[in-house]
Amino acid sequence: MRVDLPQGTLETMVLKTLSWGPMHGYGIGKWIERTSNALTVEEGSLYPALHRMEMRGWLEPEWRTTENNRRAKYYRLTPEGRKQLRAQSKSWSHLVASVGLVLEATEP
Amino acid sequence: MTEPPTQAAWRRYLRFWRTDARADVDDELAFHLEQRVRDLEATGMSRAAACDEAARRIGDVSALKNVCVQIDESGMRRREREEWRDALRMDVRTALRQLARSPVVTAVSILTLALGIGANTAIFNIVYAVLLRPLPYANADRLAVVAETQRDLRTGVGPGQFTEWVARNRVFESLSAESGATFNLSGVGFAQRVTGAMVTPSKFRTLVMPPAAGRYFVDEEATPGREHVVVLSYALFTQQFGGDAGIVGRTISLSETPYVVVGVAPPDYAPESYGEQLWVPLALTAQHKTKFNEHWLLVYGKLKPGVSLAAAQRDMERVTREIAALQPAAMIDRSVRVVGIREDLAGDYERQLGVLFGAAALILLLACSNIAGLILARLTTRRREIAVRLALGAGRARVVRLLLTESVVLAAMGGVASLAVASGATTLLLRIAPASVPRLDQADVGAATLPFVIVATLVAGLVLGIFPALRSTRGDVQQALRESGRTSSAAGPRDHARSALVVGEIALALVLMTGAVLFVRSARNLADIDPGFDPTGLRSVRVSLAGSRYQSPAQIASGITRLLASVSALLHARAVAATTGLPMGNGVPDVQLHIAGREFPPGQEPAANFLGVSPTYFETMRIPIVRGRALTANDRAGAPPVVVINEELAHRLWPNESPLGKRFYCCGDDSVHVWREIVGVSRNVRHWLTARPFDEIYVPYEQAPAASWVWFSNTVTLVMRTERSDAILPMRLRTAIAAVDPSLPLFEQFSYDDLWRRSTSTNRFAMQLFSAFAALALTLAAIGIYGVLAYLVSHRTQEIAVRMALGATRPQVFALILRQGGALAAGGIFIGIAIAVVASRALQQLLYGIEPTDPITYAIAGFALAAVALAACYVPARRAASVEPYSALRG
Repeated sequence: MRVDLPQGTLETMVLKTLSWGPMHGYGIGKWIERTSNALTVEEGSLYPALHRMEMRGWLEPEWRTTENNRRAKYYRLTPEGRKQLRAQSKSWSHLVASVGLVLEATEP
Repeated sequence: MTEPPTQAAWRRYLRFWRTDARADVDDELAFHLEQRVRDLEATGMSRAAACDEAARRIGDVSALKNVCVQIDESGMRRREREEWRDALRMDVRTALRQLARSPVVTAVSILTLALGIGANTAIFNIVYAVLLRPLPYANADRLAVVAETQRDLRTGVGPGQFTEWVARNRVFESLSAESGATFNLSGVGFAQRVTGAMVTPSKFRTLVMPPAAGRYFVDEEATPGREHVVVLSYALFTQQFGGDAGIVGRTISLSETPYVVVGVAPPDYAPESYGEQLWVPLALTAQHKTKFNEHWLLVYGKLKPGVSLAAAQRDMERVTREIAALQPAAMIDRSVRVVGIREDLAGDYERQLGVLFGAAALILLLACSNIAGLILARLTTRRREIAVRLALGAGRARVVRLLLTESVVLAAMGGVASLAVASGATTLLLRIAPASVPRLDQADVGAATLPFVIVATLVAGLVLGIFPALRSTRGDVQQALRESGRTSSAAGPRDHARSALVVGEIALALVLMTGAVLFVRSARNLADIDPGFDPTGLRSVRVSLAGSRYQSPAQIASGITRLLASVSALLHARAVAATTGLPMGNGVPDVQLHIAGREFPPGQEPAANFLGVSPTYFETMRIPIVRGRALTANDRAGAPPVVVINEELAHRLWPNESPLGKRFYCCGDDSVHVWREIVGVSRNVRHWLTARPFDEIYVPYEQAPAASWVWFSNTVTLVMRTERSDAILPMRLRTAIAAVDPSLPLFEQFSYDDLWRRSTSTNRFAMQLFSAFAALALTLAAIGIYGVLAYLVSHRTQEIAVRMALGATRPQVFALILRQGGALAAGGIFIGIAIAVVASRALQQLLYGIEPTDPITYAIAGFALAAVALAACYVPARRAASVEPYSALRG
């Protein structure tokens, strides 16, 4: 199933992914696809989002060498990024609950 | 997808210097693709298929790259800006801390700068108002005044010449002629004299501005019989007619003649020539157009696009040669001059204001060098701080920037304070400025002030900062650190710099001082002028005898007689006289004299200024008659025509014989020659204070030629000698004149004190300003020299103590310090004199009775400066002489 992501949702998911530890762009995309079981993360959205969040100071870049000796750009959550994650997950849950209440209403 | 190694190495090299956003994004995406291909291969795809699939998924790579790079770069720029701003904020904070550390020096610096910048701004406000402010006319850069000249002096333009100019010139789009005129504007319950002008209809085409109401003149209205139409100025329109546009088409009464209002000029139409309040058409008749020897028109021209003033001048000279070929007799010694309207308006004031602006700039320079001296002194004690900064890795540029920030912050504080000084000084300047300066009334602390203050402040800040900043970062860091507390040896090179500054300050002060002394002495000379009459307690008032009751010369003369009778009754028969030309009050026309029995070559006929006076004139003005008799009450209309001439004319025409009994005719009596007999010679009178006496003839007003009343627009000046303290005299005068005819407007009520002040106002203005500048400059120079010596003494205490221990007496030490101060002062004075000799040439035309190179002036200025400098040395020298050798050496 292909799902269109609401504005800003990708950023929240990226923040969540990085809460486990620093990761490079490819790993982030793969983790979200695997965990969601349904979503496709497009490179055309992922990388601009990463760079935007870096410029806002939510993420910190870090060049590392991978297991197979390749230089890769890892992203790490900053304290500001962690704060954003908390705020955004909260508002997401709130949104889901509210939309659920409306859609599952049984009387007018 | 792997990149060639050389390129990667190059990138690494680039990255070493600065982050390279594009390379980083390349690497990041390359890694992404590699991982994807590897994962796809792991699912069993062939490498080629995996590559294709990976490329398909990522889509347009280069577009993606660009988006990322753009995001990165915008963020980086913002971050750089923020860093820069943070650093600036830090520098400013550091600067403020530094300035707060020495509050006295800072306060003195701010005050000095405020005075320097404020004085400049105030002068700039005046310069802007008079010289720079845009003129209200469209195409003002193409407007010019075209004047005739006679032996290089500007004169009016003859109607004949004007007619030929219009026909023959190739450079002007339009030419207009006008002549000033006054009218008695009368309505219900008021009589008012208004200044106006008779203008050719082309005037309004030359100075293009659409009318505020109605229309301007059409060409046909410049013909006799149709000329009774009038255009009102906006000021008159609002003040006298309530700003009601319904006035257009109505009839008003001007000198008891009905005129139809056809239009109103726009509000900012600010004619500068006569301050006209209304305009009527100038009807040049065919007879006028052949007159080449009466020069009474003022001509404006609008140049064709692209024609320069120089080209116009050449073309008009050609036209003048053509006219001279037609009218050789009328064109002897005559030429033409085309002057840009801006230059014409600014007139002589351009030079004066230039001089004042130059003087103000010197003050700012002085203020800056004074503060630079203070900053240098403080830097000496801050040398260690700067050395520490450099040692800790602050770049040289960083330290220069810090020091520059300090000086700009200082200058900014001075700049803000200067606004108050500028506003006060501008008000003061406007109060003392001569009233005759054009367009000055609109001077203000206006929009042009702020940019000027900002620029002056920045320049001052940079000038102040750059020199000390560059100086302080030079030199050996380690040595500066090693010297630790001992600052005595560090004083060496910096002292030379400070000494040079002080010498410069004294030189500048001397230049200003010289100017001030020149103006003071010039004012003395002006005050000492003997005008040839006794001005004590003289008062004057002008009356305009216009209207239908004053058509013929006889009617005018009888009006004057009645006025004199009424006023002298009022003043209990104290001296009262009438004249058509009051010395220092109004101009007088000159007329050609045709002397019985003498012939002169064309162009060299004698001429003299014409004054129509009452017989009481000489007695009232206390002008002695040196030969023959004064005019008497018997010299009335119908009696034999007589005339009194002045010594100047008598000497010119009859150097070796008595002029009494000689006869001449003059004054346009072309048809009937009225021979006038010279019955007396009067002492010379200076008509204008600073001009040498003119040749003059005094004709009894009852015998004045009919034509002359036209020259004077039927106006006459009553002059009387009164008690100085008669406060209600102006009111009583009004009553006395109204008793004769209530419709007569009177104007220009002056006491001779007023006139005298007006005649000397330009000189007084320059004198006051230069004196203020010189006082300021002296103070600054004194502070400068005091600062250097006080600093020197405080840092040489040990050396002085050693000298004294070795046997130097206190007077010797005192003299030693005085000598050092004296050397600085002498150097400054000599350099200053050299500059002043050159610079004071600019003052030449503003001075009276004194040469700019007057040696006594230089001696006075030099001695004054030397005295001030020595006084400034006194305190430091005393301190040096009072050093206690033992305690100083032990400490």
